[in-house]
Amino acid sequence: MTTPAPSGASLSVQTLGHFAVWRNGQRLPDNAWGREKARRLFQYLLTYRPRFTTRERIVDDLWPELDGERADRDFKVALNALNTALEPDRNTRSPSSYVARQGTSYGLNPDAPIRVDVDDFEAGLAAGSQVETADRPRALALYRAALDTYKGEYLPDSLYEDWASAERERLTALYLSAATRLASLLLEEGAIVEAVLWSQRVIAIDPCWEEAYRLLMRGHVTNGNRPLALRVYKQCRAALAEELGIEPMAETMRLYEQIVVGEWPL
Amino acid sequence: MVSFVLRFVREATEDQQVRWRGVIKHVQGNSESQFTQFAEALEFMQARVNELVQTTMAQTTENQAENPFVETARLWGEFMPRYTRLMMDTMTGVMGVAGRPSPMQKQVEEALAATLSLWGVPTQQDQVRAAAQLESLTGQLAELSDKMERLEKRMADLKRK
Repeated sequence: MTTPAPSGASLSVQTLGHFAVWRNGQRLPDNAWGREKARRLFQYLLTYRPRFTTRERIVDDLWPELDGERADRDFKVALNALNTALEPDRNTRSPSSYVARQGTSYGLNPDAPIRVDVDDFEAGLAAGSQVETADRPRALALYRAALDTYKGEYLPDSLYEDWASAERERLTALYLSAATRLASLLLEEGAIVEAVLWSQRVIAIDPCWEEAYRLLMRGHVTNGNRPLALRVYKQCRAALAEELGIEPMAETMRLYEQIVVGEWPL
Repeated sequence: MVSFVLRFVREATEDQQVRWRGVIKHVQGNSESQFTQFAEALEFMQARVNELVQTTMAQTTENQAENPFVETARLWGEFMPRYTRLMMDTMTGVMGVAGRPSPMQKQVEEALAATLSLWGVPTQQDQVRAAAQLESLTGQLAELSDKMERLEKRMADLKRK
């Protein structure tokens, strides 16, 4: 495996909500990539890290419209442009510190100093989950910080790229589950406004997420706003009817009825 | 190329009520649809494939039109029944809708037959590549179902404690 010792430059990469790269704290301007495919290639390698992918597969995914020889040539050009963007002072004869090769496969050097926001997001959630039972306040702080890292969908400028879709969906699902969990814990702790905020964020992404509606209803009633809680139920019902043609679950309907007659909160 | 992302959501309440629903997204078009019955997801996929075929037709010359169109329709016709069968069998285990496959399959096959009749293309069998891909998908879904069962069991144990 060709993986040289990493250079001094550390990379920081944002992939959630927006794509941007910082090299030693300096943001790489858009024209640093030289060509669009160089940027795409970097995004591709980021998506598959720490795995290595065969050149054939990379070419198929990034240059599907080209035949073998042309696609190979364009791959080499894109790879050179990528290496230059990440290490502008590198001697062209020296191997890249960031993009490694194993035979005919390519991937990001696992020892290279590359920090990706997705890693912070996932690590934060995992850490919060581990301390949730023993140290609720710390868990809440970890969850908040992790969820704040999620600025939006993964690689939004590659929305139509097949190779990015699985990772995008994985992270979206993780965000939805974690945000719902945080909202639920915040409601228990009496942090109503924040619980409402996180519940609304979940519904903005998935308008059929019933648990988020229930949290919103409970939050509004606890805040003394019964009419708003009832309106939320109607929004829930409308969304489920429009998207799925179904009624809310029994628990949701029961909560609504309890709020109507003033039996919730107990 | 047309590809999709499927999300299955299991919603559970404190009183043990459980409901499955799904979201299917068309990657290249960024459209999505929610569903509670898998046939709806299949219809969504079929509609996107139909759009692709029509777009391809519009972009080909008159002389070139027939072959890619016929080939695409033939493959889709061969693909759908087997795909439907395998997905139904898998989803029966995951979503617990025993007894539904036959009517759902009938619904999808009727929709497929209606579409194909517009093209005048008879269905045939092309099993090898599609079956391998679907077996892989079936395996992954079965694994997901196992994981969910283990998780539910663990949660039930925790609740008892």
